Amino acid sequence: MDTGFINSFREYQKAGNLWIDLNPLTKLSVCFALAFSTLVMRDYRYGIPLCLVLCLVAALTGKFKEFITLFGRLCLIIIIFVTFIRQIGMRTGNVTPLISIFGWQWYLESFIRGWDTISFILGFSGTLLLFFTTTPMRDLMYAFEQKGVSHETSFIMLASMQNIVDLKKASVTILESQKSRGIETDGNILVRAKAFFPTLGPLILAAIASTEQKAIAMDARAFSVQRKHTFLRELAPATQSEKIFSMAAWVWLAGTIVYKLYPFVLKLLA
Amino acid sequence: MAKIELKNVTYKYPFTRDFALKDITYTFNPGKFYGIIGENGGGKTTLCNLIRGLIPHFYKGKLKGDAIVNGIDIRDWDLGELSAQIGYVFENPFTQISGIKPTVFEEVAMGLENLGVPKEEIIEKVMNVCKLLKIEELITNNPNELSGGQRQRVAFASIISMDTEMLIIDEPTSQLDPEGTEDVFEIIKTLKRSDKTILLVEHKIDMIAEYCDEIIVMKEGGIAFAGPTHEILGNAQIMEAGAMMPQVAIFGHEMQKAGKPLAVIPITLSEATAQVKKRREDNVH
Repeated sequence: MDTGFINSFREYQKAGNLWIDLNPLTKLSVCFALAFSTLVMRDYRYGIPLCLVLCLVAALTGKFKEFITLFGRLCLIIIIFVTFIRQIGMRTGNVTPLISIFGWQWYLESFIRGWDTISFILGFSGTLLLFFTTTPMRDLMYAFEQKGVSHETSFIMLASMQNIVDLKKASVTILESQKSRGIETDGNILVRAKAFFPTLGPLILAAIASTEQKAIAMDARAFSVQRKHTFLRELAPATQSEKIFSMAAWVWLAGTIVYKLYPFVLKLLA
Repeated sequence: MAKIELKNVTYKYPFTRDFALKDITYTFNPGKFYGIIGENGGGKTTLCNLIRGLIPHFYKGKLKGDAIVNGIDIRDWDLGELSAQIGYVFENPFTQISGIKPTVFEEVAMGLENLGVPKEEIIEKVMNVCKLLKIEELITNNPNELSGGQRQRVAFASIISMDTEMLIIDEPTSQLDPEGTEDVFEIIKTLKRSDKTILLVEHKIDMIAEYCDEIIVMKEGGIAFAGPTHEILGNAQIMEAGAMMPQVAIFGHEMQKAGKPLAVIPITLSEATAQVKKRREDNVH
C-alpha cells in the first residue's frame, strides 16, 4: 500500500507551492481585492500589467497551460467584441482618425477607450480565473465548511461540478450510440443540433433517476447523521503572514480608490 | 447485534394502487446470512428499503404493521443513525460513488468521516478494509474513473469500513460483467466469515445456495416460502413462486423421477459431486 500517500492525511495537505498552499480563503480575498481594483482603475496601463502578473503567477504554480487556454480564449472574444462595439459607438466629437479599412474609419480614442474596457474585463475575470485554476473546489468548500457553511451545501456544490462531467460523458455515450445506429451526428450546426436535441430527454431522465439513487447511496454513508464530522484531508489554517498579505491586498484596493477619487476631491475643495 | 422483527407489515408506494408488501411477518436473527429470492416485482427491494428505513423516511407511502429494528420501531429511527447500524449496497455501481472524492481511499473513508470517527482510526479502518477487499492498488485512483466491478468493490469497502451490525446487499452483480461478478462473489465469501447479519438479494441462485443460512422466497409482495437454505432450495415448489432452483437440485429431482434418487437433493455443486462420487463408490447406478 502507498504509505506515503496514506501518511499525507496525517498532516496538513501541501503542494509545495507558495501560492497554491495559501489558505483558499486568503487566496479568494486577495483575488477579490485585485479584481475590484481593476474595476476601480479602468485603465489599460493598470489592467494589462495585471494580466501579465496573473500569467506569471499561473506559470509559477505550474498551471500556466490550463490558465492560458481559458484566458486566451477569453482575451480573443473580449478584444474583438469590445473593439468593434467601441468603434461603432465612438464616431463623433473630438476624435483622431487612425486607419481606414475597407472604407470603415477607425479612431484612436475609441481604441484607447476600448483597451481601458478590455483591460478591466480581462483583469477582473482573469483574477477570478487564476483563483479557480489554482484552487481545487474541494479545498474551497473545506475552507467554507470550517467557517460554518453546512456539509450539505458543500456536497451540493461539489456534486454539481461532478454532475456536469458525468452528464457530458452520458451525452457523448448517447450520441455515440445514435451514431452506431446510423443517425448523422457530425456535420454542420443544423445536423449536430438535430442529433443533439433528442438526447436531452434520456439525459434528463437518467439524471433524475441517478439523483435518487445517489441520495440513497449518500444516506448509506451516514451523510445525514447529526454528528460532528471528521475531515480526513485537512488544510492549514491561515497564518499570520497570510492574514497580512490578504490585508495588504485590500489596502491596495483602498489605495486605488483614493487614487481615483483624489482629483475629484481636489476639485471639490477648490 | 441487529435483530429485525416484521409484524404484519403492509406497504404501498405513493401514487400506486397495488401493495408492494403484503402482510409480512418474519424475524431476522443476528449473525445469520439470509438470501431473498423471487420473481421481479415480488417485493424484494421494497423489503430491503423497509429494513433500511428508506420506507417510510425516504419513500413515504402507506405503511401498516410494525417493523422493529433493535427494539425501536422503524418510524422512530433517525435515518442517519440507522445508517450506522445497517449498511446498504445496491445494484448500480455508478451511483454508489459519491463523485466528490478524488481518491478511492477518501471515498472509502467518507462514511467514517460523516460518523465523526477520529482520523487515526479512519486511516486504520480504511487500510484494513482495502486490504480485505484487495483494492490496495486502487487507493490513489480516482473513483470516477474505475470500471463497474471496481466501483462495486469500492462501494462494498465504503460500507464495510463503517462496520455496521447488519448489511443489506441488493442485487450487487446485476450490472456487472463476469469479472466484476467474480469480485463481488469473493467479497461475499469474505463477509460470510464475519458475524454480521446479512441480507442478500440475488438472482444468481448458485451463489445464494453456497452462502446463505436461510432463504426467503417472495411473490407478489408476500413471503411464499421461508426456511433453511437446504429445505427451501431443494423444494421444487419454489419454482411455482417464480424462484429458480440450483441446476444441481433440478438434477437431483430428475434422478429421483428416474428412480435413482440421491441421498438428499443437492443444492451446491460440491454436494452433488460428493453424492455422485459416493454412488459410484457404492456401485449404485
